[in-house]
Amino acid sequence: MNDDTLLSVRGVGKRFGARWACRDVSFDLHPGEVLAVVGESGSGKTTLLNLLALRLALDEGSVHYSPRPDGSSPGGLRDLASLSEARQRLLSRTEWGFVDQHPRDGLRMAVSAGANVAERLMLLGGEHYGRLRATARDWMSRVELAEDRIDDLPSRFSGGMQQRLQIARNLVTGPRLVFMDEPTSGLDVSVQARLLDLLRSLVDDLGLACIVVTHDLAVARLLAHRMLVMKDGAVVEAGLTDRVLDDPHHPYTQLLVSSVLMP
Amino acid sequence: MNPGFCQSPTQTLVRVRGLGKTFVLHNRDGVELPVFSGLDMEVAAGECVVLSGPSGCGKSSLMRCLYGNYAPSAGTVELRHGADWLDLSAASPREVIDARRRSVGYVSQFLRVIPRIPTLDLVAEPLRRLGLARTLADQQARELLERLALPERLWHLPPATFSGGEQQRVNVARGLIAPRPVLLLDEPTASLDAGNRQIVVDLIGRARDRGAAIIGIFHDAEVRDAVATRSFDLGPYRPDRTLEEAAS
Repeated sequence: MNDDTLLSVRGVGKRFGARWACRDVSFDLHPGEVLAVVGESGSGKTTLLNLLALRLALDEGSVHYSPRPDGSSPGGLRDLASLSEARQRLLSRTEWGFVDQHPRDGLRMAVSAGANVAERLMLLGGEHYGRLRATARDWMSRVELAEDRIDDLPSRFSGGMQQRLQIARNLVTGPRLVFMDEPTSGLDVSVQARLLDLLRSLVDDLGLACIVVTHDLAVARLLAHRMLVMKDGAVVEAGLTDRVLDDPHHPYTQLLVSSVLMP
Repeated sequence: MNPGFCQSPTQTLVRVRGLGKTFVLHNRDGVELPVFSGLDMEVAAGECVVLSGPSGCGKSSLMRCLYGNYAPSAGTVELRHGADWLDLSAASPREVIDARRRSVGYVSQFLRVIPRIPTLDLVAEPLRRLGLARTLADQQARELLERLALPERLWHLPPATFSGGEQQRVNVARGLIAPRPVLLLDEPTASLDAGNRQIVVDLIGRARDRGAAIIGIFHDAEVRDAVATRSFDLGPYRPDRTLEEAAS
């Protein structure tokens, strides 16, 4: 564990009834690192993401996170379980982001695009309406949405635009860690490509650490520095993305890699 | 063009000990494909070592082990990384990424990049990752692309639709732009015409003369003779060699 570790995951597990959805997962994540979690549906990858993002409670293991140092608290890893619920909520609204697979789950469909982007800032309080609106415009343009759509409802947007709106909504507080659940899988191929390019440059420019759950190995190759391969709730292979994809060792990873159709 | 890195000419920059690579195909009844074993190699600053041996003897696999792209089955692959040695066979992903940023460059046989990024950005990227300002990185990228005679009208396009020779020059530019101490070159001139081949040969020679340790695969004898300081035969490390071969 290095000094600059952002997230430290040890022996994490979650049980649904008698079945372990994921178990014995351990890794460290550092600032600016992008980790892809791949595997087929039912492998436990989304459960893992929800555990790490505090959307589900752990049955085993621990997750430590190093909050941004400020006047009142020093830096360093803190056991997330030891933080108050209020502190956890604040973390997930400021230092973290969560991009859902379906934009409808991550957006408020009944309020305007601008209000969606500004919501996190409003929850933190204190911002002037004009400034909130200016920030919302700025973030809309950064995710390549026309600023004059600021008053439109998200339901008027295409799927790709909704996903970009969801990303803007998450990045507006300058998070350090973003969780993404299949961020491109609901989109047409050409829209996917554009979103991936956008994600890649945002992650690069902002130095974000990300955990991206995907079943698409091409997404992993494009975005991630490192990979975890999951099967039946366990991590079967881990390592540098191009090493795992070009020289897979576990039988399941070999099967996954050899099953991809080349265009 | 690339000031900065300079090494004393005798310093060892690459150290390979007992390296073995065997592929195990679990979904083909666990069949084992041994590529090489017991391979020892050292390369010093200012050397350009050409890998030799028949096709299939593991030249490209060795290069990939040297880049951390393949995991060795046995042995160690150490690179001089700053003041230290980094063993790629045991390094963490982030250490390998850092080594690729600062210490080892790789020109693969085929350009493999993100499909939609303009050429100039692709070529400048290794410098930007070293912390160079965009304007400076772009300036050096322009100079190198000009030197490689890649038409300027192509610089702002992604290379996906370029000809083989044009793509290869983008690949060479991307691999050589940063003054990294170790360079791995897998057939960097294979699809170039004579004029462009000579330009790349000159660039490789300059990198060697500034003290890079170069390991390469060059099938073209003329290129090989122009850049190599010695050759390294993979034949003796073939796992299927006979006892007589091993003894001789």
